[in-house]
This record gives sequence, C-alpha cells and structure tokens, in this order.
Amino acid sequence: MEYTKINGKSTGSYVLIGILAIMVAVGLYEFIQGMIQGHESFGTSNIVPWGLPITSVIFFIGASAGALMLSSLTYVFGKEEYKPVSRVSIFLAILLIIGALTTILGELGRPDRFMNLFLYGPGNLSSMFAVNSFLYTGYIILSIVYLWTTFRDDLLKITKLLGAMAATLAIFVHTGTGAIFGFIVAKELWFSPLLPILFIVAALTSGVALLILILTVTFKLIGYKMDEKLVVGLGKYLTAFLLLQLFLVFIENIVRTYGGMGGGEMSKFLFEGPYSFVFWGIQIIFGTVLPIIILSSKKTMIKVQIASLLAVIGVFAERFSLVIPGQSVPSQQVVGRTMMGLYGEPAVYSISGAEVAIILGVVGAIGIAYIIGLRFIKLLPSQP
Amino acid sequence: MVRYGMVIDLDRCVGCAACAVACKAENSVTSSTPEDYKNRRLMEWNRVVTVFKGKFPNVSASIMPLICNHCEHPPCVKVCPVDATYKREDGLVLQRYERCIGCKYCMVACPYQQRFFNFYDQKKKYVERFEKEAEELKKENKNVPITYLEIPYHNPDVPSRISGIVEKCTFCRHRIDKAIAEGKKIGSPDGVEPACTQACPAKTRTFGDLDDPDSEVSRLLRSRRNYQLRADLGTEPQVYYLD
Repeated sequence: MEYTKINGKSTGSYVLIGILAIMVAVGLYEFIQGMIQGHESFGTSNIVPWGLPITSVIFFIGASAGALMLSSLTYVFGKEEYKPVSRVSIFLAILLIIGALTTILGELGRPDRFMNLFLYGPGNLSSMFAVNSFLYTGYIILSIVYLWTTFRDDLLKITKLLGAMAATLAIFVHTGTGAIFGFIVAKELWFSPLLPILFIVAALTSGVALLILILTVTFKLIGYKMDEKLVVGLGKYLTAFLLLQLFLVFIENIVRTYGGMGGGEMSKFLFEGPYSFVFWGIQIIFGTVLPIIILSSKKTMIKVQIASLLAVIGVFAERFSLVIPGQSVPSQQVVGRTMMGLYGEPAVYSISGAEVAIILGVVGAIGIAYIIGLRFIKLLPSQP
Repeated sequence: MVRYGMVIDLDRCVGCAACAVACKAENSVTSSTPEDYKNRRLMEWNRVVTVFKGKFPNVSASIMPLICNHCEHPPCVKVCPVDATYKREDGLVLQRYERCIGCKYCMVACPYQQRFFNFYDQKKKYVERFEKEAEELKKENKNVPITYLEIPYHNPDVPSRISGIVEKCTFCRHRIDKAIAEGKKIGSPDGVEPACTQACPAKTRTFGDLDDPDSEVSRLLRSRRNYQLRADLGTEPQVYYLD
C-alpha cells in the first residue's frame, strides 16, 4: 500500500491554521496568567479542586489509547482492510497523549516545578501520578518508534511486535489513568475496581469515534474519497464498544444504588443533583443510547458519522459526571451525621473561561501539529 | 517512640472558635474574602462545625472542631507524586512547600477536606488589600493605622506559602521543633502545645504523646469512650474525640 503527503498549501488550510493559532494564543495567555496570578480565575474550589482540565486530560488519554489499540487491528491482527487509517491513527494517538500532558501542565498550580515529578516521583511510587508519569513517557517513546517502523517494509515482524507491545502499554496507561480515581477511598463515586475497566472501554469508544470523525473530515477537506466499507466496519466496532460501555455503567450504578455507601449521598447527587442532566441527558440518552439506536439500523457513512459525534460527546460527559459530581459532596466526618450549614452543602463547580481557554488552546495545538504532520509525513493512503 | 496526637473532649467544647482564630494568627493563614467564602475557597486549617442527626424536634447535634487528623496511614502521603507530603517519625504529617507542584491529588484523596489550595499569593493579596484600604482612608482624610502598611504580620517561625501550592495543619510543628531544640517538655497540660490547644478556654483539647502511657492524652483515652473520624476508611487518625 502506498502512502502520500498532502499538499496543504490551499488558502483554506492556512485559514484553518490561523484559527487554531488564535486558540493556542488565547490558551497560552490564560496559562501564563494562571502561572503569574494563581488560579483565582478558575472555577475550582477547595471542595472541587479538579475541574474541566482534568476531565479533558482523561478524555485525551482515553482517545489516544483507543486510537493506538485500533491500529493494532492492522499491524498485529492482520486486518488489511483497516490499513489506510492505521498509520494516521498511531500519529493521532501520539498527538493526543502529548496534548493530554500539556493540559495537565495547564492544570498544575506550579507548572514550573513539573520536573519534580521525574526527580522525586521514584521516591513515592505508591502515587498513581508518579507511576503514570513514567507510563506515559514510555508510551510516547514506544509509539513514536512503532510509527517509524510502519514506514519500513523490511521491518514487518518488528512492527507487529511493537504494535502488540504498544497496545498492551496503552491498556496499562489507561488502567493507570482509571486507577488515579479508582484508588481514592475518600470518594464514594470513584472507589471502584470496575473503574479502570470502564476507562478502557470508554477509551475504545472515544478512540474509534474520534478517529472516524477526524478522518472523514480530513478526507473531505483535502478532497480524497473515503471508503464507505471502512467507515461502516469501524462503525460495527463502535456499536460493540458502546453496548459494553452502557452495560458497565449500568452495573456500576446498580452497585452504588444497591450498596448505598455513605448513606447514598453521592450517588443521589449524581442522579438528582445539578449535574444530573449531564449524566442522564448527555451521557446516557444523547451519548450512548441514541448512537446505539442509530447504528443498529443499516449503517451508512453519514449515520456512522453522526453516531460518532454523539459518542464522543457522550464519553466526554461520562468523564465529566465522574470527575465533578464525584468531588462535589463533602464526605461525612462522623458516619450518619450531617454537617450543618455551608460545610455540609455540595460545592457546585462552574466552568470558567480560563479553563476552557487552556483546553481549547491544547486542542488548537493538536490541530496544528496534525495538519503539519500530514504535510511533512506520508500518513494518508494515496488515491488510486 | 514518640507519636503525637490530640484528644478533643466534645463535652467541654462551647463552639467559640477561639482555636480557629488562634490557628490563623499562629500559622499566618491567609484571611479569606467574601468571594472566597462564596467560591468555597476558605483557608481553615482549623474549623468548628456542627453535626446533627434526626429531624426536628428529635435532633441531636454536637459542635466539633476539625483539624488535620495526622493519620497513621495518611491517604495524602500515599498519593503525593513528588514526595512533598510525608509522615515524620513522630507522627506528624508535614509538607515540603518548596517541592509541591500543585497537582491537588492530596486534596481529593483526603477524606476530611483538610487540605487547602493557594489560589493566589497570600502576601501579595494582603499588601494589595491594605494599600487599597489605606488609599480610601486617605481620601476621606482619616488617619491610616500604621499596621496597614508598615507591619504586614507574618509569624517568622512559619514559612510563607506562594500561590499554586497546597497547605494544611502542621500541629504547629515550629513550636514542637523549637521545644525539642530547647529541651522543653512537650504535651498538655504543662508542656508546649499547638496554638489551638493553648487558646481553648474550656480545655477541650489535649495534646501529647500517644505512645507514652503516663501522658495526659493516654490517660484520657484509657478512661473515656472515644472515637476517630471516619475510622471505617482505615486511615487511623491520631486525633481522638471523646463523646
């Protein structure tokens, strides 16, 4: 199979790069402001210290892991029909994980001390952050080598081996990301052994869906013809992942409701609190059930595209309704006794412009890197 | 081995919050603004809350001072990726401020909400606020108190905290360290104790060595029924409550 670079010298591509560059500039401005002034303009509080940036970090990591696992369809399992999109999916996986780490930088209180993670991290490997910083670094390096070997036809066996290794590492990377939350005994909505598994399934969903979206849009913009059979094939995987995700979300919430940990305060907040529309409306109905219904009819290109868009939104909502409502309710201090006044009330997190700007800045940077990558590396299949 | 802990007798507590004020002054914890209150960004190493059970008219309520529990198995130490939070040999859970990267993982891991993030630079905000107030006083041709500009109060024994890092109760480690260096006795009733314990008018709090069978804290724990906060989480707090 032959690959090609894109020309990318049209006015449209420069306009697109310009828009993305503005996003990067605004994000960078807010990041520097946050570094100088502190996080006063953020929407976070002492009760909800993790806001939207962490939500998008785990979304990016998930999409990255999902995209990388998908590339193993071609290079490990030998499914040749997905070959046209496998190389670019590895490239996207690398961009997304680097984007995720950049977003973490924007969320840290002291981003200038970032190197401490590598200096002192080995001293406390019971912290999932410390373990993950090494997992992510290894994952980035392995993915880059894996991408390089796909350019060499004489290294097919090594590509297969590296593909299997990278996909395994992707699973561990996302298990580690899930464990960041799953290990926290203080938060009833987080402390669950199912969480890492749910993270991997959600990663696959968002990875496939995001890949379908980005690739169909890219092909459309540069005037290539997308093979409908390929998209429909990916749509089948998407259906399976969505069903599995719905099942796991159901199991986890049925356990929460049945067990009623901590008086069921936190699950009640998730189901009936101010964020319940994110859970019921966006995550369950809009982001999971609706795409399953769309995909269960005869699949066409446009149907799969719409379902992918909904699934991406659904997975982001799933992350949101884990991170934010999970922290909102202050935990009881004496079991069975409620704290009076402000201290016992759930803290409502309001999304702030600074956080959105930082996230959009990272999205812009990923976009620019993607366009430049397509221009200088042979990532896309050449047209017959 | 020394293992410092505290015993809080809830029967004695009157809810005056003198401990909270003493803590703020002793540790130079920033004074919070009304916006901070609204945004739930209060810096309260020591706070006094009321917990209740039941519905009116069958309510039982009790006033509880809450501080860092200096757990035997602290979740915050477990999750710190840069080893900034650590457990000292004498049982104190402390922080190396200069190492903290502000990831806030300890804040979500603490079941007691006893960790506080510096959303802004305490000293800068303090100076800005008082300069503004002094300006307004000058406009009205009133005398500006000397404390507004020339003496920005900060306890020299306590390191100041910059924006973007997390802070928490230290059991007044500077007092304990000083007492060790000077060879003074540590622990209630006649030794060095944290500011909150010293300030309590009702002798609610008792500070001391839990491993020493002759200390006041050990005697209290032997003689009275006691419990720890959220003992079900396995954190083994070193702050005990007498009921």
